[in-house]
Amino acid sequence: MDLGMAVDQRSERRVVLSVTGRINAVTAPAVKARIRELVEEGHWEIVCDLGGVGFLDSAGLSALVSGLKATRERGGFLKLVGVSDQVARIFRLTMLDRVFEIHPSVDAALA
Amino acid sequence: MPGDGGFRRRVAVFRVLAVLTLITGGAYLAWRWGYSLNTAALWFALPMAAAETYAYLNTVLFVFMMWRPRRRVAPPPLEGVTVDVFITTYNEPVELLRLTVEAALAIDWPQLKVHLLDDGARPEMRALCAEVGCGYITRGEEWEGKPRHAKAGNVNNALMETEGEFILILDADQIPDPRIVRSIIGYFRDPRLAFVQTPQHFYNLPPGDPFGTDAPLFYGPIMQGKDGWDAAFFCGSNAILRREALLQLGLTEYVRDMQRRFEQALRTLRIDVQVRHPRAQYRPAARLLREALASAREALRRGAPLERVSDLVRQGVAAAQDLSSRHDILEIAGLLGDLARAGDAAAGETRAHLLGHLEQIPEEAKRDLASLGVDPAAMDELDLTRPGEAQPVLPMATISVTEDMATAMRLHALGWKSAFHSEVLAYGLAPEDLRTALNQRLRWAQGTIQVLMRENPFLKPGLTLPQRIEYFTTMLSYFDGFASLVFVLAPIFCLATGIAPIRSPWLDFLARLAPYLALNRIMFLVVTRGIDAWRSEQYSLALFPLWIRAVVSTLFGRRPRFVVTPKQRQSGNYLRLVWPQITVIALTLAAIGYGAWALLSRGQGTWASLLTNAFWGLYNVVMLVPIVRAAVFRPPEGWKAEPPQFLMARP
Repeated sequence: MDLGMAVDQRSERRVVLSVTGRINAVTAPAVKARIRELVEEGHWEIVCDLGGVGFLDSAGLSALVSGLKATRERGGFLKLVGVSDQVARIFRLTMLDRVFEIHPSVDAALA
Repeated sequence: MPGDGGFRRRVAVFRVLAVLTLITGGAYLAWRWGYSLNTAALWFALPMAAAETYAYLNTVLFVFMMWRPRRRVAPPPLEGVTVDVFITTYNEPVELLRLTVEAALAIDWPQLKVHLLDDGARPEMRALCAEVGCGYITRGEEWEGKPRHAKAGNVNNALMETEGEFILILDADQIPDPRIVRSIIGYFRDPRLAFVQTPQHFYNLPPGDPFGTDAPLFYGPIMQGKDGWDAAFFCGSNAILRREALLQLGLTEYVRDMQRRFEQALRTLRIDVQVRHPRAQYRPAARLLREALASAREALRRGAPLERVSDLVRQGVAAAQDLSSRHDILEIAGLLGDLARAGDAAAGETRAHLLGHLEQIPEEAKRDLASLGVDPAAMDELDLTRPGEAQPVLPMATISVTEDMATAMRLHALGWKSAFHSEVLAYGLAPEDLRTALNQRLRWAQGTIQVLMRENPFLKPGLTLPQRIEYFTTMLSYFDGFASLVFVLAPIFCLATGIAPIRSPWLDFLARLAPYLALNRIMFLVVTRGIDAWRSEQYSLALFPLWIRAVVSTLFGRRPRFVVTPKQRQSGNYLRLVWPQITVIALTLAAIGYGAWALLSRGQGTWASLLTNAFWGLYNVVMLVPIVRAAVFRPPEGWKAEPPQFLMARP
């Protein structure tokens, strides 16, 4: 499974989750589980860096939306950065670009 | 035809001798296995008896081959048909090709086009063609990074670029007689005839044919014998082939190969989907995919068009992708509903949009193949354009370094006929040094064994029983080396150790063996009357190390590569190449000396045993000496290859 995830803690609540690889039905459950884990550990302000994601399918979208819901329930957020053109297109076509905050960089997301 | 009575009489005499040989030989073998094995030395007795049995089997096959030889007379020419001449070259010099191309242009046939197939893509060859006015064909871009398939690939490439009804194939060095087409094109009046083969003849054979290249036995009685069973072989060049037959063969093989690939791909897909499917797989989608694969397999079994099979799989995959993606979108919509209820208005709008477009999920957002547990490589196999090959359709067989035999066998299996025309109509160059000669033999042997491994004539559908036997006979002959090894070592063992593989009174043994051997010999002389097969016979025994090497390297080693036979003499001394033969000669002579000494001074052994083994050993030495002499051969002072007369006679 070609998926990598790294967490960079910025403050008590705030983390940057960098994902690399393909987020498809095979790997999406791991992404979903990792976000839930972070929320349960108290990190519900998450910036998800998709800079290393070359492919994202409907199952991947579902994992991200489920992560978004989990953070919102605690009053936090899930923002996206580093979205490639191809992935951005998928968000646009599904209109999920209007649900997620998508920023050009981590700094912009946290500004 | 004149002399036909003589031919028929000779066949009759042969048959009588053949039956007598088989009877005496069978009786001898029965006696050998049943009554005379030296059970005290089975390690020696068993290999000896096995080798003798093998030799007898060869005799049986030889008799079968020669049972009803066919000597043909060409029907009148089939006027008006178009003929392409293919001259294949890779690295031979321009001057050699000039001879061949000019002779080809002089072939007497109105509808003739000559093409030089230059696999070396050399500018000087292109220039030669422009100068003399013949076609020049070389591989195109589509071959880049694809398997080239050597000479077979070269010919296949040219087949796609030309359109003559018949194809005359010539090697770079083969100078055609101007009559070559007119003499044999008439055979194609038979619409089921795929090819006509003519003999290989060499105009540069040094006196005495030191390297045993001349093959009058093969390009005479053997081919006539095979032709009698409708099994004349295609030998790679000096032959005219019917394009229609080649194309039909190419298409049939293409479909067969695709069928195999499809079966394999469907099996892989089924295993992937059933066994290795990801845990995340949405079950209803997996079921859909399994059903699609099952109906694709069923369609393949029923012989449905491959395109249909491929479509069934693709449709199944697409449906499974759709279903599972829809499942994801519904899940997303549920989550968005929760977000909307929590006050996110945008989430509500997106939810409505997604639910309104459930049937139009964007392609790039759909689940990928890996999510379905499907290997993309297996899907690629379901591609009818054969992405791994430069040409989807490959008429000349590419499974072996000797493409000719495999192609002929496949044509025969499709029900095509063949003919052997025994008149020499092309003149080529033989190897001029031992290394080159041996490499060529090795390549043929390896290629033939490869064909046996890949397409066993006894398993191939479509061949007649005699055709199966004829292909097998030729393939089996390359396994002779093991029996020959026993035959050359046996007298040495006998003389050196005093142990005999046979336990029998000497006269009894001689009385059983001598008639068999004598009849066998006379039968052979009848078959080969008028031709000099002695050198061929010597080489077939003397090459035993090469035959063994060919078998071992093909069965257990790496895949042999196609080696272009160099056309110029490589200088040097080749004694190292024949060390096994030199060793056997030396050991034999030493063993005879030792045996004589032991008998005379110590009284060990018997005169009968000494004489028998000495005679046998000396026979082996006589067979082996020519190849050793060939290793140090120098052409006589002032000797020069003379191109054929008709070339010289032309103004």
